[in-house]
Amino acid sequence: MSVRFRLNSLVILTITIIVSLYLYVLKITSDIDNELAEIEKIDRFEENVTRLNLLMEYFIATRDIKYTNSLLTLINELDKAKDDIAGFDRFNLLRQSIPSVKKALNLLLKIENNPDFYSSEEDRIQLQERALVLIRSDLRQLMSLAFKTSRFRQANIRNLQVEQRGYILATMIPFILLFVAIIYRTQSQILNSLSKLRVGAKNLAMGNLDERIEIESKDEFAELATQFNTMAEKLESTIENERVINQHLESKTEELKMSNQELEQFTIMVSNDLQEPLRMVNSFMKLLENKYSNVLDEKGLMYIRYASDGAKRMKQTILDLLEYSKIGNYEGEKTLIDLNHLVDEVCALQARNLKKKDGTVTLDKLPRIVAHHLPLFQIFQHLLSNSIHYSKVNEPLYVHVGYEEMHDFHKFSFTDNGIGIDPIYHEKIFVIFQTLDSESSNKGTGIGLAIIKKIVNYLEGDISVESKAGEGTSFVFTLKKN
Amino acid sequence: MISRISLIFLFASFAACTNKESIEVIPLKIGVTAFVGEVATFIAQEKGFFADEGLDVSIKINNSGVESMKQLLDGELDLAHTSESPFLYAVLDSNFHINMPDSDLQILANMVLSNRIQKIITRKKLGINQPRDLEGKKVAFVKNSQSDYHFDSFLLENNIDISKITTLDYTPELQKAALKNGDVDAVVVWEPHGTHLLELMPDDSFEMQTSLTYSSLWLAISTRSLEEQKPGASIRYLRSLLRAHEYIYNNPEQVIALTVETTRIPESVIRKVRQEIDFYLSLSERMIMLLEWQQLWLEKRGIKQASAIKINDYINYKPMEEVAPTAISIIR
Repeated sequence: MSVRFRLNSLVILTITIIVSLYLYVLKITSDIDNELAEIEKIDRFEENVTRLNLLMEYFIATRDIKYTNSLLTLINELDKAKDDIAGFDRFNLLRQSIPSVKKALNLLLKIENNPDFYSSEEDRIQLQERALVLIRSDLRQLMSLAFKTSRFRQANIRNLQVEQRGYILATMIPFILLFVAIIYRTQSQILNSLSKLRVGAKNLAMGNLDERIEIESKDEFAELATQFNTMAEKLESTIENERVINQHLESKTEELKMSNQELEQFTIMVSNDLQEPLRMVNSFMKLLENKYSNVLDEKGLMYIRYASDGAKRMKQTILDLLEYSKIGNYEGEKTLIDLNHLVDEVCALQARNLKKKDGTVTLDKLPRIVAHHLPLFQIFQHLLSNSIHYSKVNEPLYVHVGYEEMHDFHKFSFTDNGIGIDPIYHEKIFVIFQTLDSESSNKGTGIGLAIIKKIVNYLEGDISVESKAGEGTSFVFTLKKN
Repeated sequence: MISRISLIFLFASFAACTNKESIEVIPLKIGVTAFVGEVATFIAQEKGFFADEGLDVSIKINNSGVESMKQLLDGELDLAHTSESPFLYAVLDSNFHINMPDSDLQILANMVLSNRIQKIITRKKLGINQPRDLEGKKVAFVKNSQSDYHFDSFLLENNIDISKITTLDYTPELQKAALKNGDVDAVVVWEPHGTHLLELMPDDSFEMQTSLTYSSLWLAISTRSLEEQKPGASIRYLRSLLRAHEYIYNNPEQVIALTVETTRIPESVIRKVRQEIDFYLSLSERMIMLLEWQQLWLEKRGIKQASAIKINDYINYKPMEEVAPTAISIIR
C-alpha cells in the first residue's frame, strides 16, 4: 500500500467523518425542530382548552349566551387542531371528547333556551350538572392528555439528544481509532523507511559501498530504496573500475617514472660519455692549431676550425638535449617568483650579447607567480637568446615583454624587431632540432623553442607565434594560474 | 485482560440470574368482566407480563363489575375491576353485600379512557327510534351499574318518567338473547355487547343517541390489607398493566385477535369498538369528578350522605407513584 494511497485514505476518511457528522447533526436538528414544532402545536391546543375551560366556567356562572359563539368557535378550532398534532391519534378519547363537549354544551343551551321542556326544576338542575360534569371532566382530561403528549415529545427530544450523543460516540470512536491507527501506522512506516534511507545514505557517504537498503513495504519508499541500491551498485562498480584504472595508471606511471629515470640516467650517462670525446676532440684541435699552425696551410687551419666548431655544436646540442630531457623533473618546492626580477636576471646573463646588438629590453609590470624558478628562467632565457640570435644586422635590437592577466591564465608576449619568421614555418619552429638558419655559422641547435613549448605545456599553457619575414617576431604564451 | 473481562461478564450474568430467581412469586386473584376494557389484563396474562413481575395471576371472568366487587369484599379476590357505581355502592351501601367489613377498599388506578362505552339499543321494528318511544316498553340493564346511570341520564335528558318504563335486571348475555327473542324492547349495555347487538340484528336494531355521552372509568380496586398480606403486589400488578398498555399500542392486530378469543365476540365488532377506547393508567381529576358526581346520583337513589365521603381517602397513590408518577394529575 503506497504512502499516497494511505494519505489519500486518511483524507477520504476525514472528509467522510465530517460529512457524516454534518448530515447526522442536520438530521437530528431537523428531527428536534419537528418535535419542537409539535410541542408548539400542543401548547397552543392546551392554551385553547384552558381558554375553553375558562369560558365554560364564565358561561356556567353567568348563563350568558353571549359566550356561546366563542365557545362553539373554540370547540371547532380544537376539533380541527387535534387532527394536526402527531401523537394525538394515540388517544381515541381526544377524538371523542370534543364532539362530546359540544353535545353537552348544546344540551346546556337547549336547557337554557327551553326551560319549559323540563317541568321539574330539580331534574333540570341535575341534567345541567351532569352536562357540566361531563364538560369539565372531558376538558380536564384533554388538558391532561395534551400535557402528557407534550411531555412525550420533550422526552423524544431528550432521546434524540441521547441518541445523537450515543451515535456520535459510537461512530466517532471507531472512526477516530481507525484514523489514529492509520496515522500511527503511516507515520511509523514513513519514519522507519526514512530512517533506513538516512542511515543507508550516511553509510554510503562514509564510504561503505556495500551498503544496501531493504524496505519491505510496497510503496514509494521501497521504490526509493531500490533506486538507492541501484545507484550504490553503479557507484561501487564505477569506483571499482576507477580503482582498477588508477592501479593501472599507477603501474604505468611507475613504469614511466622508472623509464624517465632510466632515460635521465641514460641521457646523463650518454651526454657525459658523448661530452668526453668531444672535449678530447676540441682539446686536440686546439693543440693541433697551437702546435702546428706554422706548418699547416690555410686549408689545414680552416679544417681544424671546422672540426672545433663541429665539436662545440655537438656539445651544445648534447647540453640542450640534456636540458630538454629534464623538463618536468624539478626538485624542491615551488616558490613565489617575481617575473620582473627573473627577466632582469636573464638580461644580466645575456648582457654582453645584448650590448653587441645594442639591445634594449622593456617590460610591462609582470606578476609574481608560484612556480619552480628553472622552467620560467629557461623560457625567458631561450626567448631572449633567439631574439639576439635572429636580430637584424646593423639595427639595434628592441625587445618588449608584455603581460595581460586573464581569468585562468597569465598571458605573456615576447616581441622583438628581429628578422621575423615566415608564416609557413610557424608550426615547424617548435619541433625539436628544427632551425631555419641553415647557412649561418651561428645557427642554433634547434631545441630552444621545443624546450620553451614543452615547458609551457608542462605549466598547462600554450604558445604561439605572430611574425612575418622581416617584421619582427612576437611569441605569445600562457601559463595557467595556480 | 481478556480473562478479567470474562470473569466480570460471568459474574454479572450470575448476578442477573440470581436476582431474577430471588423474586418471590405472589399469587393474585383478579375479578374481571368480559368487556373490551379488560384487554390489558388478558394481554398481561397471555404475554407473561404478570409472570415476569413474579405474579401468579388467576383471572375470574364475571358477568359484571358488581359480581367482582362482591367477590372482593367476600375475600374471594385480591383485585376487582369495576366501574364507578359498584365501587361506590360497596363503600356506601351496607346492604349491598352480605359480608360488609369496615370498608378498606382502595382505588389503585383507572385503566381506560372512553366516552362511548354505554349504548342504548332498541328494536327498530317496534318503531323505537325516538326517546319517547320507550315509554311503556321493557328495558333491560344491569341494575346499579353504569348502564343504570347512563339510562338515568338518558331519561333525564329527554324528560321521560322512569315509572313509564319496565326495567329488568339482566346480564349482558341475557340482554342480547332477550332483545333478539323479543323478550325486551331495548337494552342498555356496555361495549362490545352494544355493537355486537347491532351486528346480530342489523335490520331490527337501532342505537338511541344521547346528548350526554358517558365518560367511563374502569377501576382497579383492592383492599388495604392486600399490601400487608402481599407486599409489593400492587406495584407489580400496575407495572404489568403498563407493559400491557404499551403492547396494545404497538401490536394492534394481536390485541384484536386476543380480544376476539377472550370475549368470543366477532372480529368486526371488536375492530369497531377498539376505536372507542384508550388503555391508559391514571389517577386523574377527571376520575375524582366522575366519582363525586356518582356520589350525588347515589344520594338521589336513596343512599344517604353518599356525598359525604371523600373519594381521596379511598385512593392509594403509592403504587402509581412508584410505577407511573406522571399519570397522577389529582391535586393533593
